[in-house]
Amino acid sequence: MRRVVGSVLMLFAVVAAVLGAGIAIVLGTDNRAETGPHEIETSAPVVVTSPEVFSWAGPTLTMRIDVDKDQQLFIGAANAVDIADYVGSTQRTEISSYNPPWSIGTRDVFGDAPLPAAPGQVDWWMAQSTETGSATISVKLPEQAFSLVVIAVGGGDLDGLQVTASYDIDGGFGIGLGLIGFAVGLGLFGWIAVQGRPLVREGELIEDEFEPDVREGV
Amino acid sequence: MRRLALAVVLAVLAAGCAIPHPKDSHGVTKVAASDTEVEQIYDRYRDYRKDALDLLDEQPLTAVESGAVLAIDTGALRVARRLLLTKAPDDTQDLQIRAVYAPRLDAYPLWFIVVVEDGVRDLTKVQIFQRQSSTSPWLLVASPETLPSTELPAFDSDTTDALMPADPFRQGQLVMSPQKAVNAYAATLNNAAPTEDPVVSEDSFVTQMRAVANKQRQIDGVTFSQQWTARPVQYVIRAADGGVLVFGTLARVDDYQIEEGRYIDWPEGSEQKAFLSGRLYSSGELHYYHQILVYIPPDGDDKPVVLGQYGGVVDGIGY
Repeated sequence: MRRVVGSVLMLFAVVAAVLGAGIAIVLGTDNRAETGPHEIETSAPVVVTSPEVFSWAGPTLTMRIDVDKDQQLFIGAANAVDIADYVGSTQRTEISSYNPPWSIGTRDVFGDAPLPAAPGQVDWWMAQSTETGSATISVKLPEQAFSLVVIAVGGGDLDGLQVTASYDIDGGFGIGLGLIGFAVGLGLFGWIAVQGRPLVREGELIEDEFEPDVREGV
Repeated sequence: MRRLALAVVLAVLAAGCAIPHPKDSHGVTKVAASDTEVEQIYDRYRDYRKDALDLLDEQPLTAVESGAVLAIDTGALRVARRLLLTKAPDDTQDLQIRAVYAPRLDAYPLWFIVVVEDGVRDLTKVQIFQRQSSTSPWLLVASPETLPSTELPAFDSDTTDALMPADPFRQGQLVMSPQKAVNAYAATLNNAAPTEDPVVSEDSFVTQMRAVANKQRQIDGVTFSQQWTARPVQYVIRAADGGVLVFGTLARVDDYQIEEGRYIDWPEGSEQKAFLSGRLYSSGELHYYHQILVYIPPDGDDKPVVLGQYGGVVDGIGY
């Protein structure tokens, strides 16, 4: 029984060590994982992410968008309910799925109405940026349903759009190292258990090693 | 060795707070507004309302009110302009937020409830602000008033303290559906006298409205009739006891038919004078809205009861 438990502990230790090493290597000492630039094919003036794309909360997402150098663009992050209503009748490309490191699903949604207001006129953005040619925003992924939208401002489209994204996880490198340390401790316990050696406390009587002092009579 | 392992485990757990984790389980929803946002929205409302009272002009109110409540306030200002013949405008207002309740909604329009103490009129306003779309402003759409002594039922909420809205047409475990209750109030008020077995309470609202109508019927030489109709219910919230609180609107039409050779000279400053200016020789019609706050108890012997109301004349025609 002890050997089975020990083997399981060692197995967990290996998994934890691989996970910890993976986190530490992927994030590095700057606690950041980056991907891109990646091109998204679109001829629409608006690109928006579905709420399912960001199903996790916690990390800080930094996203840089590059388009034609003369095109003015807006990037905004907001609750998915706000963005769905805002872009509801407008032609757009929706990013419907995402798998790391970079695999996305897209679909084109047709619409003939312009956006109901300029993006700078609404008050519910969590983060926003308006630039020409290239724009960047950083936003901590919230608990609530969340979407990102990229808009070609002042006419035009987002042809040639390129995305560079990075995730920052506070203390992520330390978490990786912590997992490795935890794995070492767990593995040690497992190894001791597999060896089958009993734990002996100082001053404890061990029955097997006790031999009565017997003397032969003269 | 055990202590070291414990320390490592604790360190990993502490760091785990920053680890990416799945989002909350509320799907694609939004709590309509935070307390801070409500404060800002209400500050804006107070400013526009003060301007409207200063000028006795409804124009500023169109930026912060909509629907029946705008119509009622517009009518009140029109009557007030008439009263100005003898009095200076009174723009005093003392509106203090006492509580905010916001539901978690999956699409626009978004709305929330704010309970406000009106220090000038010694009343409590139970108001609803609504944002029709993501680009439209927050507008006051309902404002029934209760006496300070009236206790509102405790509202039901989810694990995030968000209000739980209910379907206006679903009866569920209630004595009747919200829309049916408001329809029943309209039907009750269309009876000039109490019936034997009313389906809603013969409460102070019903008594008061009947008293007003009966007074009009006593005008000599005039045939008076009154018609009540219910508007579609939009806002219903669950109460903690299994009942619901309904924000309903009733439309009322008062019709005056004057006998040939007679006329009515309305009292100066009255709503009739403001809307049916001059003498009324043949016939006249006044239109009113009444916003009512109805509590519907869970299934049992109790009947729906009106906890508060806000109403007034909104239009009129006469000759």
